[in-house]
Amino acid sequence: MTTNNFFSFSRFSQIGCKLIIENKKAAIMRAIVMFASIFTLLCWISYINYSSAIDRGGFSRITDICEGYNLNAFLILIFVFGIYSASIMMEDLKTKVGKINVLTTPVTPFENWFARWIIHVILFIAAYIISFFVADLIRVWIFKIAYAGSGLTISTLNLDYIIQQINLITDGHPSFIVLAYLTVQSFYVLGGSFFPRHSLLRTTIVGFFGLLIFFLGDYIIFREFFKNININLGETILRGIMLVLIAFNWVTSYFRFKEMEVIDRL
Amino acid sequence: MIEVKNIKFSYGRKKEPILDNFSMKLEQGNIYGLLGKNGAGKSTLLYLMTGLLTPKSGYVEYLGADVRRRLPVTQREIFLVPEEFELPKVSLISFIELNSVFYPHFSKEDMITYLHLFDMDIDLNLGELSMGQKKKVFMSFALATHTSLLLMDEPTNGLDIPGKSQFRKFITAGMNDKHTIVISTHQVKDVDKVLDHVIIMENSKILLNESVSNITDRIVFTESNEKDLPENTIYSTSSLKGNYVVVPNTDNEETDLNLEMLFNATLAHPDKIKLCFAKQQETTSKAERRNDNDDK
Repeated sequence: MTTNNFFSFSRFSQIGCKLIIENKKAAIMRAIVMFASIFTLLCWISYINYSSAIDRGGFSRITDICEGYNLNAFLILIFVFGIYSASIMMEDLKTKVGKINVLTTPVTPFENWFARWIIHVILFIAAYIISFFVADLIRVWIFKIAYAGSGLTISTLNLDYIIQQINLITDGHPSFIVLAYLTVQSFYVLGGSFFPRHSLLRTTIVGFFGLLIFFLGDYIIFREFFKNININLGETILRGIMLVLIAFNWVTSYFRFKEMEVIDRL
Repeated sequence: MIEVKNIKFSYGRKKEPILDNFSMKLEQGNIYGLLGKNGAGKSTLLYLMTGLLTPKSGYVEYLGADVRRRLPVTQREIFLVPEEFELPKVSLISFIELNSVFYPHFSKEDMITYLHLFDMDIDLNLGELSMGQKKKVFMSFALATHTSLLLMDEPTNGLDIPGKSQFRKFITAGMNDKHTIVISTHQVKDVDKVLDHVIIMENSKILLNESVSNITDRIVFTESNEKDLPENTIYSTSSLKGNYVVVPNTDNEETDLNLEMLFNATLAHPDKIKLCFAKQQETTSKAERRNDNDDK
């Protein structure tokens, strides 16, 4: 066995497997809840729009009239579930017993933290996208049967449309929305390492006051400071700030995890 | 082996330290009994020895490294069985597959042997077990990891009556010269037959740190039906027949260790107990000095 005391791929994969398999029941339950929520919302959007379109008459026969709403649902729900996924990253550290179990496992703090990060940040995105597109596909099957012969175009949300609309929303800077998502999610990753118990609620409260201070500071300082800066430079600075925040939140979360003890010192 | 060096620890900045300038050294191949009153710092000491707590000053060294760094190379040689723990709701086979990979000396055959000592089998689902059964499984896994240091906090709590005697067989089955086991407990009757070293601590001090053979060489634990206690009585307590008595072993008598009496005597009269061993230490150091001179 390797004696590398920072990162060993074999230990990393072992702790990853342990985290996934030992928590698989809870993870499956959460995935089912996520899928059911997405499916219910998509069906509700479709039902409202298709029925009112038929009642009203005149509707587009080229594109799905729900496309825009579905895209909004896709973006809102990825924020909601992404935040939730990040807030439970340190869930098993909320009790003394759980902390003993986690902190005595012979892996480095980095391997342990990184495995959690991969599961709750990266694997979550994959699980979300799969759940969304499967839910959308089932919605299309159901509504195609329900509204057969109505002349409605019922189709799944396609990738080209998503990219095109995100470009439109962000004025040609789609990375902005990705950075915004990661910034918000990274706050909850950090929050989880400070408040393993009631992480979602506590981080939201702290985030609320943080935003209040930010907007106050923005109003007093930044508006004056950036008054004469052109919009492109302003956007670049904002993107830079978000990148720094994401890195800061992830790194701080790791160090907080590394220094964690069996008791809470906060 | 493991060395606790001048540890100072308190649960909060303004709180009184639980351990203050506390030092201790444990040698390989022994089963240590760690005894102390509630709040003496036994569990805290075990957490410090596994790197789960950060001391204000001092450190714990094991295999040449500070345990607080929680390096895998030291952690794979230390296993802690806490008083309370949780097991995932998976099959025992799956639990073993997922967790044994972290311990290079783990033996599945030994795990099965230890489970059999507790009348259990490997074909179990951890989610369906009672707390006592979970404890038996977890202790079997702990012993099967063959870590060189095994720390157990109140291991017999929650075990049924046969479980307590099975525990004694279990510990002796898993012990060899390469291992060190530390058992922190209040259930002295459950472990007194398996210990070969006793540590009694109070107020950040070690009141007694002696091998069982030394203790029984120096102290006699007996029951007396005479009304008058012997003059040199260190400690006594009433019994059905008369009195349980702890006296210095002046006539080389052979008695079994009575851990409860030893514990009470040590807390009540630490100086008298210390005196029993001081004489021996004096003799030992004189002999050592004589040997040194002979060598020169």
